[in-house]
Amino acid sequence: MTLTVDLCGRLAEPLGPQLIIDDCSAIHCVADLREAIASAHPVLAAQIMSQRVRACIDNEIVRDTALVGPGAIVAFFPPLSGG
Amino acid sequence: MMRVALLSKALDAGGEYAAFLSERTAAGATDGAVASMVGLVRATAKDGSALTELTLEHYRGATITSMQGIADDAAQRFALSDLLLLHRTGTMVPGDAIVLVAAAATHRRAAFDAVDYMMDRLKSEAVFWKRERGADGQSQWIEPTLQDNIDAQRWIENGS
Repeated sequence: MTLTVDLCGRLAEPLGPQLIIDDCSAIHCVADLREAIASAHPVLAAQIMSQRVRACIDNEIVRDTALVGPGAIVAFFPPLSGG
Repeated sequence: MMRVALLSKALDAGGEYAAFLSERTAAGATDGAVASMVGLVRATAKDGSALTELTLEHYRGATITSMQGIADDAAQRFALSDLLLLHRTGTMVPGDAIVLVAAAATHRRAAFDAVDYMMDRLKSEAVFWKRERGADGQSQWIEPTLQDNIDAQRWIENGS
């Protein structure tokens, strides 16, 4: 199973707006996903591991314990700018 | 009828406000007050340097969901008969309207407070990422200021 992760705002600058995670076997929750991205993409590590960067699954901001299920639409949000 | 929308093209703040107001002044209307706020793209950055454009990025359904949540909370918190929340996304230039918020109520205080409340929460909680581009071609991401967070916090401190 692969997983597509959307990167928003300034997070998209180093590698573009989407990451494809090819091997999701060890990814069960958001915290796992953060570690997998940080490991695979050191240029994003500091930002993706920051607690100021929040995860979003299916359009809702979630905690790091949230499960990442098959087909989930996952994104990471840097601090919001507001309107 | 509460209206919340995310717009990718120009926001005609005057036209939208006039339409909202006309519903309040039609025969049979019972409102006693309408308050509104229009946010515009400034021509200068915080350091005083000239800006040429402002880009607001949004994300799928999360942005409109955050806007709708703020509007729903305002409708529940204040005695409103109607509200309007329109927000731009995309690239704008100085003078463009970014946001229009309006509230109608029987009494003015509810309308004033509802607009103030929605703007404070939009400035800190709405799912947008803002990038300013200067006259030198350089761009930078903008985050909420300490004052923005203080403004939003006061509604929590003031109770439900």
